[in-house]
Amino acid sequence: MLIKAILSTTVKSDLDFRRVIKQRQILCFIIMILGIATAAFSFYFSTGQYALLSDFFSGFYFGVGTGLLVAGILAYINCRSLLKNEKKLHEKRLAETDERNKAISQKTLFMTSVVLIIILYIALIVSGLFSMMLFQTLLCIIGLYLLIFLISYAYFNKKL
Amino acid sequence: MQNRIQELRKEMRLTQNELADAVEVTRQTIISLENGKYKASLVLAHKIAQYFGLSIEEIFIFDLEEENLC
Repeated sequence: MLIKAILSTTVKSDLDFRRVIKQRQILCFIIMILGIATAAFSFYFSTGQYALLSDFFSGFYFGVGTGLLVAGILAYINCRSLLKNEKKLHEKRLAETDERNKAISQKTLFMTSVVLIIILYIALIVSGLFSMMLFQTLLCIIGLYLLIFLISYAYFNKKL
Repeated sequence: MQNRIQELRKEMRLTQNELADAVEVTRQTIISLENGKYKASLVLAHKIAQYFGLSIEEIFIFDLEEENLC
């Protein structure tokens, strides 16, 4: 959703949107390659002399890789069908550039961020009782989150 | 903020879909605007006003009290 939002910010006509869809096809290929690489990584490090991964991680990485590959293929097929059908392309453009839909996405992202930071904070407090490593990891995540927030705020403060 | 979109649309015998297509938004946005659930951006307000051949003030009724401006 975020990548879609980034790629479709300057769309003003169906022709522009066609260009965005073509860029999205490239993104689909990257996702497919990432999926294949993840599955290959899992396969390579779970068999033979380099069998470093446990069954759990081997299965997890293979599942994620396969999922990415399938998602990439489906998204590519969807892009192709949009490029072949002008009516569908137009409808999709309206749905993606619609200002109410954009407002919904922004409010949803804001709400998700607030809930996420609250959950992270609670997890940080609870983790202190059990594991120092988990506590430090969560602390780093919260710190990184706040740092990204401040950088983004400063960027948009100058840009808008 | 209230608006006269539904009234004007019915006067012109337009469907929500036709208006949505004309101003390049989804039908759901027109529904939300007519219900007063969503406030149009300046660009959309301008497009709608241009489509009906009226000024923005003639379509969107700015409530000074509601906006805390009186």
